[in-house]
Amino acid sequence: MNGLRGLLAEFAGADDVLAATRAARRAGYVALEVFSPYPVEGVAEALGFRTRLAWVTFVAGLLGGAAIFLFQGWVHAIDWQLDIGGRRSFAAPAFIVPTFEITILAAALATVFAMFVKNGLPRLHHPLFAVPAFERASQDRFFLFIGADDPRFAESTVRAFLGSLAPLEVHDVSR
Amino acid sequence: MTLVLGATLVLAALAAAAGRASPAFLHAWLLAWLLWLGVALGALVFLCIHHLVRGRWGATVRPLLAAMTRTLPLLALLFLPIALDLAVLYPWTDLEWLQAAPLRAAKAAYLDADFFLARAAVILVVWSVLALRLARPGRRRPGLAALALVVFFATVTIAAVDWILSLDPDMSTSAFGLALATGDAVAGWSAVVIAVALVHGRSAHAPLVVPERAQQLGTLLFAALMLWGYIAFTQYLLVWGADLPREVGWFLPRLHGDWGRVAWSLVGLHFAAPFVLLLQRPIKRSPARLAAVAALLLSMHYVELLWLVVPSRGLPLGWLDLAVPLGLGASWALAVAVLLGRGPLIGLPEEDIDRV
Repeated sequence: MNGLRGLLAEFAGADDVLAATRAARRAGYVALEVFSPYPVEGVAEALGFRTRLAWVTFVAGLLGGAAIFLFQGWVHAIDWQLDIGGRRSFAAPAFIVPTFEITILAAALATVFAMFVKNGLPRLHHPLFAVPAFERASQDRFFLFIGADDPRFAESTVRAFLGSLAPLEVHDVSR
Repeated sequence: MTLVLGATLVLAALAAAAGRASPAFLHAWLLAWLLWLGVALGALVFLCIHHLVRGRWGATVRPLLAAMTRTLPLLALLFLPIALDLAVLYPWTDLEWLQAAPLRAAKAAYLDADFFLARAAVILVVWSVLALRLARPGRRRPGLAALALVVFFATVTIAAVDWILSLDPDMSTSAFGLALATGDAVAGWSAVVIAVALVHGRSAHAPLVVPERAQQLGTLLFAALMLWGYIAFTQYLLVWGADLPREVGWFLPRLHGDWGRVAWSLVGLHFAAPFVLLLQRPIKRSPARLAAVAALLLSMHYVELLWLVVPSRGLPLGWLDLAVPLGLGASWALAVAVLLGRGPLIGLPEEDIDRV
């Protein structure tokens, strides 16, 4: 029992795992994770999943866009003035396209790397990988995991609870 | 259907009579016609996209998209008042005026009244035929939809140049049709979103639209807005970069004085504000809030049309420029309601196009 990290229930379909997740939330479990081959609509809500990643995207986009706009202004108006067709050196319309592109680049890169950090990546191994059946989480099976760190976790009751959700199988995940 | 067709012909005759009596009415009619034609074309574009890529968002709005698309042949008939009095609207119908400047004289062969009407007739008939075939219930038609999109984007440049840009024939810009078509896509999709918010959950034919689906509709509105903003700005940027007198001359009255303030209102209310609003999930996930943003976009699309058309015409802005589009809009909405009939207003995912 001490060596247990949690219990993993295996399901055949997206709707099954979604129903199981909702049931687990209703039963009061909070240390939940769902693993599926593709994003299942509704799972994030069922898990009560909240993330501030959108703010990282937004702020990084704003900062990236502002930085490249001002950088172009500094280059053309202060550092190295060139007369291009008699236009004013702070040529704002011409700065817009790079500003647009760098806004997207900064927002996208920041989102990906913030996601890595929040997920604890890079990481070479995870106890879940020791469960042979887990390989199919990236193919055609859907898994609901209840962690031993859940305040309501007791091996026998959780095992019985997961069993009541009609999974294909319940796997032990050891530390 | 016969009733709608008859009502459209009566409306066309009334508008033609009013247009003959008052140039201000005819100018307002051109604006109103361009607005609602654009909305119907926007619906056609999204119907084509759904035929091509499917998706639950499309199943939800398919009845509305189909009904809006089926108004295209009716709108084609409403071109008649314009066709009957070209000389009131377009300065190039005056041959002396056309020959007065060498640049205009070089365009004389193209800016010929008969040729203009022939082009309009072909374009409107082709759009109407494609619209009626794609709006039919039943199987997915990816081939026809792809053909329709290619034909539409090829012909919309001719249409936009003829009907709007030729008000000031000195100007030429190759992005004009594309900028107008993407603006039409925004307007058409806005109309769909507003209609969804008005009818959903009201009857058995209009089930409630869940937040996930509303978010997809909002994301598509966001995508259309981004595309319009990018192309409309690119058109300006290229003119600004080249700095040719004949092109800049078209922009100058639109960027100074009152129209200059309108231009800034387009930047702020047609792009920046809706952009920030549509970034937010709570807005996209509520059909009612999304419809408020869509109403802003549809209104600003008409402001953009005013900004494109009015500085080129001899006539200042008048109350008819507001009343006629509202009146035609009410008639158009009525036609959509009649075309929807007693069938479903909002589709269910299981009624997606391949499963009918």
